Amino acid sequence: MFDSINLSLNVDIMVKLVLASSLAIVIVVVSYLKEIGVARDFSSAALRGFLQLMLLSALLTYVFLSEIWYGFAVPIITLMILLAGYTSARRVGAGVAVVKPIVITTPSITAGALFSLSTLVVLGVIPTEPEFIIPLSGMAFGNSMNICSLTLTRLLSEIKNNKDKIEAKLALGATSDFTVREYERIAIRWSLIPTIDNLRTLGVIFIPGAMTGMLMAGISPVTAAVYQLSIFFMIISSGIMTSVIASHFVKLRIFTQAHQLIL
Amino acid sequence: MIEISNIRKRLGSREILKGINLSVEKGEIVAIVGHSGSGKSTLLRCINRLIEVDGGDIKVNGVSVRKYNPVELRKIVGLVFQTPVMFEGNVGENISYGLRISKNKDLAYETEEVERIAREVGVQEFLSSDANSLSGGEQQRVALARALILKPKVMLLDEPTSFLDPKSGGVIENLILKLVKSRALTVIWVTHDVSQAKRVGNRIAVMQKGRIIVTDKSERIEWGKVYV
Ligand SMILES: Nc1ncnc2c1ncn2[C@@H]1O[C@H](COP(=O)(O)OP(=O)(O)OP(=O)(O)O)[C@@H](O)[C@H]1O
Ligand SMILES: [Mg+2]
Repeated sequence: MFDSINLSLNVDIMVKLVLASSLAIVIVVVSYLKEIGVARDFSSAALRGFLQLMLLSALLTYVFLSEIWYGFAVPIITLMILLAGYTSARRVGAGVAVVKPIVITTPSITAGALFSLSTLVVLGVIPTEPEFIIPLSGMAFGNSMNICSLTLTRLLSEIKNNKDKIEAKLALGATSDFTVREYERIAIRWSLIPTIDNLRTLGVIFIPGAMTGMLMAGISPVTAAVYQLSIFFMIISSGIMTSVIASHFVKLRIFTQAHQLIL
Repeated sequence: MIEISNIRKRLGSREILKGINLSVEKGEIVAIVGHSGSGKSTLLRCINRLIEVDGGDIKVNGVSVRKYNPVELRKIVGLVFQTPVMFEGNVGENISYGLRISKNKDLAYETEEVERIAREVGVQEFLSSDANSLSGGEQQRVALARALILKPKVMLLDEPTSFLDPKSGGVIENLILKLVKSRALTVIWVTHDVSQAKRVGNRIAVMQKGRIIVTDKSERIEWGKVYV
């Protein structure tokens, strides 16, 4: 009997997936008509996303039921770290020859996200259960990844555009730290804008995915709201840590000990 | 005051400086001429250690530049760039930059010095104007004041008049001469204008293909396409 319920649920949900895909056709058609050229990009992204999610749900079903779930959580989180570091590094690109982005992105994202996650775990806000740890890690790493990319692209472009000014200041006896402080501030603030704006409009024009999911899964709105706020504090704190660490690494790479700009 | 011995510097795949030797006495002005791309700016940037030499050594006041704290070295060795870069803020803030960033600030001294030096270089009426709104010549005056307020012993001037029209270039040239002579500064003055080199330099150095030869002004030298 259970099997048949499960099966009917699954059929039901699969039908929904197919129906929702009708919106995918809209994307492709609009892209084609307006010559936006995202159809190809979108299709491959959608296919990739679909496969990844399917894989994830199968994996999660298994892991959540497993006695030794942390044995799975560690490699999963490691994979998140590597993928986040790699993706962010690709985004930053080879804009500046002396900076190898991946050696900056990976440790910054890791440190930032792990800091916030472990704080919430230690404080007991996040239960040490796979249902919480794994998806929340995903959020922390995902957000840190975006913030890392934003910080680095902005910081490197500010420094490149103001190279002459920085060198003129160094020539007057300013330290390297001092000459880039303003650009650091700009880059960090800029990287946090999207997330902070989301927080500002939270619940009014922006009901985030996690909360939507919790509501749809039947969790009480108040509980969902509390979790959602905790999530926001987590991703913004991990973001700001990531951003600060990443910009510090940039400084270490583009300046020598002798306050020389090597760009 | 400055002893440059056999320095080498590679930038990208090219060796720009191929063993430069030059010594400048205290209070002397040495003019360096050379074609565009011959490495004149590169040489100056090695002296205040904005870049690192690949080989050889530079001594300032008998001490290798590597032995100095770079921050202190750059206060002793002022550098005025080829094109002036103004910082955000007004002229006064630009001039006081080097004093404001130092650890032991003295506001009264700072205000007094800024006014004194602004008058000396002739920008006193602009002190509260936005530095970026000034003309090229005025900006170069600010750049000079900004370096001089730190009381350097050495001034490195990188084509300080080349981006100005001949008339204001001449005015700035005379101003610089007055400023450095009244302070008895040791000067390396880079220029691509041979007649300017003859006017300002006690000696003239010609830079070409990564090397340098020095001459007093009595002999006429011909090296490559540069005549002195
Ligand atoms: N970061 C760099 N990487 C590679 N090459 C460089 C770099 N900076 C300068 N160069 C090259 O080094 C050479 C010397 O440059 P430098 O600016 O010292 O010449 P210069 O004599 O001051 O010329 P100008 O009279 O035009 O100012 C030039 O050919 C320049 O293209
Ligand atoms: Mg030059």
